Amino acid sequence: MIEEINKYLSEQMKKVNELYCLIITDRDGVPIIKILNEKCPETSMKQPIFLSTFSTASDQASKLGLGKNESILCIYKNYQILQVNYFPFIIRYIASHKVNTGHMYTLHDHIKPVIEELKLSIGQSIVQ
Amino acid sequence: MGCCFSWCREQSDPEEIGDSERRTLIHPDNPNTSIQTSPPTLANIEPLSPAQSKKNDEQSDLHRILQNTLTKVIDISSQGCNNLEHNEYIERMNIYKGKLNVAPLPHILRHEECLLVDMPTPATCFCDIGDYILINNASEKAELALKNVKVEHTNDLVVPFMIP
Repeated sequence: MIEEINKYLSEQMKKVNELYCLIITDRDGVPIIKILNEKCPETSMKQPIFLSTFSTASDQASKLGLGKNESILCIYKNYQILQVNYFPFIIRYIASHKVNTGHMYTLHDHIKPVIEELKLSIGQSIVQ
Repeated sequence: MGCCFSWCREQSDPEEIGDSERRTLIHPDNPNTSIQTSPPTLANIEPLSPAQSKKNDEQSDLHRILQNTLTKVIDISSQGCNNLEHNEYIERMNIYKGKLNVAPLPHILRHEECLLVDMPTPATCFCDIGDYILINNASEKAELALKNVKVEHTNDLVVPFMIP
């Protein structure tokens, strides 16, 4: 099944220009599905700490009094990283800083049915 | 680093509160906590001395204050300390990979390519027999009309411009 999901997500990723990477992880940043192309920055993969900080950051951001935090978008010099909380998963998109952020959110909405089914099938085994 | 933006949502849906990452395992208001209080029986009732009960009250007060502080204070000191061991990391990755391989294929990936891709379940849409005949007749007429299209040659194909 993993090949079909990877293929589907790769095709969907191509709809957003300069989207380099899509990773679905658990709350500790352990990758469940990882799709990346050659432009994806290596440091994002070599530093698992990068993948694990979102849950803490989201947790703390929820205390700001603005409601439950659902996603965090960070824009850097060359890249932008969108991290979305989709319990028990965390979904990350790494793209060029030039990418229209709305396209990434649209892509996220588009792949939600697949993630929802993943949640039903393997969500119970995800370490929380 | 450039700018950072976060999008928050109102906590209006009560079903999602249970899935919140802020949910603590031991919550004073949660009846399903792991600390179960057994009904008082003669066997398990032990007389507490005034000093002991005072100590317990202090402990519970301190615990409550600690919980309140934890939920209110924004603490980023824990950022970056990933306690996950490398072997556990690899082990979890392998577990997820194994689970994914045996999990059923998502429904959205199962359906075959068809013209009605915008419909979630085209197979369930039954066509009325009248509509079927109507469409068949219309398509036959359209096919016939296309076959009968002929170009009638009336004028010269090459017309010289009136160049002086």
